[in-house]
Order: sequence, then C-alpha cells, then structure tokens
Amino acid sequence: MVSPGSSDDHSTDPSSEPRLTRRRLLQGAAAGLALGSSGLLAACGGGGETSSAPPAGSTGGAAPAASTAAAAGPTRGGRLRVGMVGGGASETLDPNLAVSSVDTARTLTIFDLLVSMDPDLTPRMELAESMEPNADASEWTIKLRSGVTWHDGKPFTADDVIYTLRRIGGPKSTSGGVPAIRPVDLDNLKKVDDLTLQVPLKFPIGDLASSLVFYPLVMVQDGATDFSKPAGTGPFMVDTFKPGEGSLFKRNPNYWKEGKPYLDELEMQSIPDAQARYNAVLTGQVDGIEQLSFAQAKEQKSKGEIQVLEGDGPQIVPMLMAADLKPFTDNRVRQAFRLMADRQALLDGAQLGFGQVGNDLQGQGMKWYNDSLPQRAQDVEQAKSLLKAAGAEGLEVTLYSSTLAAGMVESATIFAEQAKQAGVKVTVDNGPADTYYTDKYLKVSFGQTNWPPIPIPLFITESLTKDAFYNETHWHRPDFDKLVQEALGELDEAKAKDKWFEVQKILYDEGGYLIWASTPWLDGLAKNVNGLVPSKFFPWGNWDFGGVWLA
Amino acid sequence: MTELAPELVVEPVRMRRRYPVARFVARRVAAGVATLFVVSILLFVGTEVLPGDVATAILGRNSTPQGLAALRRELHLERPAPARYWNWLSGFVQGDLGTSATGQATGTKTTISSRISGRVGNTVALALLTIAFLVPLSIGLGVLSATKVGRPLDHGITLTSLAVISLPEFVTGTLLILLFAVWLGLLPGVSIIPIGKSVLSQPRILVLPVMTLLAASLAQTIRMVRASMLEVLRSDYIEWARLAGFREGRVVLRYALRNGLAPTVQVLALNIQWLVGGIIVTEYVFGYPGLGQALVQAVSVRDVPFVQSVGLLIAIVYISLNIVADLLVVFLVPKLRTAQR
Repeated sequence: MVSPGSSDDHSTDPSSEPRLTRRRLLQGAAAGLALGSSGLLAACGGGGETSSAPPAGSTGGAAPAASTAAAAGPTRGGRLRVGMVGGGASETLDPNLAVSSVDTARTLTIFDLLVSMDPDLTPRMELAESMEPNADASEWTIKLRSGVTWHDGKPFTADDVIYTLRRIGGPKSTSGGVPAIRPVDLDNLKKVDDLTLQVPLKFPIGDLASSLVFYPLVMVQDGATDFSKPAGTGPFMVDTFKPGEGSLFKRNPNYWKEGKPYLDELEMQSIPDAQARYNAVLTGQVDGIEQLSFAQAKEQKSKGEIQVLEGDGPQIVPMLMAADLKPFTDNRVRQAFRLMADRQALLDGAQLGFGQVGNDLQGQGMKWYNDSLPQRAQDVEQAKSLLKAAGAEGLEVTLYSSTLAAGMVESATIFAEQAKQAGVKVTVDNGPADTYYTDKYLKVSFGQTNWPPIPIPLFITESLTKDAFYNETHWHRPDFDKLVQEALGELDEAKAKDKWFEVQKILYDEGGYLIWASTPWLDGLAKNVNGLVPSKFFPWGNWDFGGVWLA
Repeated sequence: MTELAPELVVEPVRMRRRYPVARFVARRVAAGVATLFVVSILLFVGTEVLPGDVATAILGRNSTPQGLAALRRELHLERPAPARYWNWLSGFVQGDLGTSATGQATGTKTTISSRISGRVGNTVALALLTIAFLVPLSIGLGVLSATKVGRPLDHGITLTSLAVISLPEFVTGTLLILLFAVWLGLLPGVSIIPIGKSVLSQPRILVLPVMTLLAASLAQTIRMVRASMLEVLRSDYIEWARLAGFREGRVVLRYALRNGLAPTVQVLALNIQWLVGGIIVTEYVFGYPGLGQALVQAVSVRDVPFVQSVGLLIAIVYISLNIVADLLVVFLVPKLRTAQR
C-alpha cells in the first residue's frame, strides 16, 4: 500500500537544518464556521498526556503497558506526520484564539494543562501537583509541580499560572476557557510562593479539577503576548508554523515527563478534504489522520490497511426542542418526540452503528452521569397518547438541520421517517452549514446541535441555566438553576452525586434535548504508529503525541 | 514554431493606419479595463448578497448582538455598500489588496498580500508546468491525428480525447488518485509539501494534479488543432505544394501548421484561462497548497475581502491572457494586422 518513493519524499531527514525564520504567523485567528463550532464547543480539549501506560523505566526503551500489538517497548526517534482537517488562515498558536481541532492539537503539543483527562474520563494532575479546597470550597490552594521548565529554560512558577488565568479571563478575551474560569475571582489570585497559589472563587465549586481539563486552559508563560513561536512546557517545541498549511515541531529534550516524547519530530499538515486525508494515510504520505468518516472507519475495520483509533466518548449530535416555543411548550409533546425516536435505527443509519445509544442526557460515562434512569426506547403508542392528551394530533413541524456535524442531516431524515409512525409530519430543512449557527441556532423551535465531551456540570451551566450562553432548549427554570448552583458548590462527593442525579432526572423527565446517541472519535493510523490509547475525551488519545512512537 | 515561410508573407497593400498593432493593443486593453470594472462590481455585489456577513461567519455559535455590532464596526460593515466598494477598489488599484477578515475579530490584522504570497508561487508552478505540457502535446497530437486522418491512430486519439473531455476534473482527479496512488502506489495521492520544503523540490506531488488539468484541457485543444489542420491540409495551396513535389513532412510543418495554428492559439488561450478555474478545483481535490485552496477556505469562512481581492486578481489574469492570445493571433495571421476596420 505504501509507496516506497512517496514515503521517502516525506520522511524528511531529521537532521535537516532548523528553520528559524519567523514568519508573520498569527495570520488571523477568529473562529470560523469552517469547523462549525465556537471556541468552547470546538475545542474544549484535554491534557496533552493521557497515556494510561506510562513507560515503566521511563527511558526511551521502556515498555508501554497496553497500547498496541507491538511487543518491543517504545523506540526513540523519527518523525510522525499527521493530517488534520485544518482551519485555514485562522489557524493559530495562541491558546486564547484557538478554534479548530488542529489548533487544539498544536496547543497541547506545545503547552501543558494543570489538570488533564485520562482516557477513561478521570481527571489527573499535570502541572498541578495537588489542589486543596478550604472548608466551604470558596477558595482553592494549588500546588505546582516542581522542576518544570519552559522551552526557553525559565522555570515554571505560580506567576505563569496567574498570568494565564487573567489572560484567559481578560476583558477582550475570546478564549474558549472563559466559561470554565468564570467562577474564579481573577483580581484576588494570590501567589503564596513560587510553586503555590491561592485561587479564590466567586461562588463555591466542589470539583475545580474537572473544570480545568480543557485545552484553552493550557499554561502560557508569564508576560507572553507574541504567539508566533511561543515557549511552552509541553513535549514539543515549535520549529515552523504556516497557518492553513502545516507545522513542524522538535522534541523537547527537557520535558518533565521523563523519557517522553519518543519522537524526534512531529509534523502536522492541514488537509481540509476528507477524501484527500484518507488517501494521504492510505498511500503513506502521512502516518495518521483525524476524523475518519463512518464509512471509511467501517471499511478499514474490515480491510485493516490502517488502524482505526476509536475513542468512544460522549460527543453528541442531538436534536433540540425549544421549551418556550410552540409546539414544545407542552412537556407532553417533548416527551412524545423522545418516544418517537428509534435510537438504534438512528445509530445504525446515521453513524453506521458507531457509538452508543443515548438516553437524552449528556455526558455518558462522565463523572456524575445518572446511569440509574431506564434506557428510553421507542414507544409509538405512548407517544400518540401523549400527543392526543396535549391536543397535538396530526402535528406538523420543521426540523432545521444542516451538514455541520457528521450524521446530523442523516439523523434528521431518519427521525422524520420514524415520526410518521406517530402521525407527526416532520419536514427536514437542510440549510447551509456556514450560516446555521447565526440564522437558525437558538432561534428555531426544533433544531440540532453538536457538543464535544465536556464534564456534566459545565455542560449544564453553559446550556441549561439562566445565564447559559448556549441555552439551546430555551430552558428557563429558577428552581432548576438553584439546584444546579447547590450541586456545583457541594464538596461532599456523595451529596454532590445525589444532587447532580436529581438535576439530570429533571432533564430526563422534562428536558428539551433528544440525545439519541453518542458519537465516537475516529482516527486512522498507519500500522507502525504505536502508543496512542483510545480516549473517551478527545481524538488522538486526547492529543497524546508525546506518547507516540514509531515501530 | 517554424519560421515564417517567405513565400507566404503577404505584404500589406497599403497602410491605412500608421500603427495598427498599437491601436489594436490599446483598444483591447481599454476593453479589458472596462470588463474588469464590471467584474469588480459583480464580485462585490455577488459577495454582498451571500447569506450571512463576515461578522456572523466569524462569531458563529458565539454571536451576540453586541459582539456582532462591535465586529461590524471593526470591519466597517455598517458603512453603505457604495462607500465600501469604492474604498476597496481604490485600494486595490494602488496595490493594496486589503486586510483579511479572518483574525480581525481578535485584533489580528493580516494583509491579504501576505496571506497569498507563498501560495501564488505554488499555483503558478502548477499552471506553468501544465501549460508546458499542454501546448506541445496538443499541437503534436493534433497534427499527428490530422495527418493520419481516418487511420487507427487518429481514431485512438479522437476516442480517448472524447472520453476524457466528458469528465470534470474532480472525477478525473479522483480516478487518477485511485489508480496511481491507491492501487499502484506509484505516486502521492495528496500534494503535501513537507514543512520547510518548496514545491519544486517535490516534483512527484505535481504529477497527478498536472495530469488532471491536462486531461480536462488537452482533449479540446487536440481536437481543435486536428480540425483546423484538416481544413488547411485540404486547401488548394497545400495541394499545390504536394503537387510541386515537397515532402509531406515539409508540407505539414512548414506550410500547413502556421495557418492551422491561428485558430488554435485562441483555443489554447481559452483553455489556459479555463485552467485558472480548473486549478481551484484541482488544488482542493489534491490538497495542493495554492491560491485556489486558500480561496475555497476563504469562501467557507466568509472572508469576503479575501474573496473579492483574489477574485479580481484572477479576473486580471484571465483578461490579460485573453489580450495576449489576441495579440498572438494578430502576429500569426498578417491579414488581421491590415484588414481591420
């Protein structure tokens, strides 16, 4: 499959001279709809290091516990070339401006987070060593890892953390990290010593670590303003960056995770076209690509020309019913719609069987996910009787759809068919993807959206409370808001769990989300790429390029 | 190209105008400028009526009324359209292509010139390489086909060109990738330039894009050369040349080709102009980092200033090629130099 010539052409020798030309790099940075998402939504990345298999001896020759078939341990060296979707001219190395998935990937290649997310969705300390709350969780003390240095040799200290948090929360910041640090009282952040800081909060937060796992919250250097070639603490250092084309990184020899990274070089190429990306990995021009289509992943699962890295996490492409717009003002109509959906058929049709059937709640497998509620299944008779009771027989609605996310318009079409059985006529309006979020989103009574996996408390505060920026289901309930606030501030794990379960029970019984499935991350890797563990959180084993090694 | 056969030069009967060629050029250039003006209006209006403006596209899911208003002010979108048009055009004429809209929301100013500077070279390399193959191949195969008219070779060339002429370049490109990259594994299926290398240092990545562009343009030019050569070969003076005992090769190359080329130049020019559009599609199919790919990306993020300026640049190339082609014809066909109004 791999043409020898083409791989020779591209596996450029690692000794090639470092190109230190500083081009004008921050060529545009704002969010584009190219990837159909906002800063928070597109991005919310996790930590750069999530390998659940830390090398035992932690040197280059140490063995990975459970990653791939390769029997010998990780080997040092080589260049990994990956094909990313890319974000055109808006690609950036500034974490505050990053939007597209290639921005996320680069951000977590250069920088590190205080807390990262393991592949099984457990938060794990990274640059933070420990985090301790005071009695009522209104202030947290963060201890930092010692001995961490920036790419330019300076030590990593509490000043860097304070600078970063204030930069994210700054008045003109468009960072996707703004929601996550909204509770932080930025003015009163206090440095205790070089490796300790106090983080006062505007209201109590019982689990601060979980809200710090997003990629916009990576730590940048104190005083950094020029992000054309930023210094980070991460596994790789920037060598060359061309927005919309590609970038090259060199190994950070002083990385704080001993022995990592294994690669000498990492090259990221932006290849916008899905078929071109697929061809590139099949013909050996790159060693891995992101966002395999369901069809491509299915093909490769049987053919096996490349490895399919399937991160079966709680990404969702749900339908939205606006609770304050006709006909969904009546909860019986909302529940009837949920009962009309044949979830397995939607999963098989729109996602070719990939993913898991959903239960109208976000965050399957995440901390505090309410798994005690029965799986909702199609029940046409009950749907009909609910509609009859609501006086909504023979209902006709328009479902505003688009091609923003994989499976979106497909699931809308299949749902429209299923709705017929209950006597509901659903007309699918497939609008242009680039104006969907401005013309239809948050305005129509029946639409669609997509969310990457984010912790349940953050999802709920961002989409279902009074101040929620993305109140997609037009959910305005003061009693509900109060319950959420209590759950957020609860330090006692068991009590917090009860409260979050109660919150989700309300959404299960009355909410406007029709969450029919979760959608996995699908990456395609050449057979010699080792060390990536499928992550439920984000693709590339949660962007774990530091853990990759080539056989 | 053969030297002009002295016996075929028709001396101008009389000089009705002193500088007919200069006048011709001036007229063509003036018409070109007028056309460009119309194009600029169409481009501007066309991008204006696209649903959603730059501000909504940039902010997307994050748009708030305040955010939109602030960004629109930033981008001068609140000014009336004629004023913005004038602003853009006057800047363009002075060589200022403007500022890319992407990035403005966050205060990052990027000039369009700096965004396209690296890509123009890649696209020009692709275009020139294609033309370098297109011209000799179409003339060579067309003449060959015409001289072997009715024979198997002619049928072969005709059938093949008819087959590929009916395929759009995204189909041809995909088929070529399937054949040469995926099945045979001979050539790269995606035109990735490794970081730090130039496109010319990676000739292999150019092969399939050039083949795609050739497949779509070669067929037409071959058939045109063939047709005009056939017509010339059937004319009386060729008959006389043959009767005079000249060898067939000399008859074809020396006497027929020159006259056969005149209409061909126009067709070649048309195809080279077509390349301007075909390259956009081809670059996208192959992920080739050129101007076309950047244009497609700009459209998808509603980077209107970029689309307008690059669109107008492409129109300039197109119209310039037209003028050059017309001039070439005038030089090839002396009659045109003298027999104008």
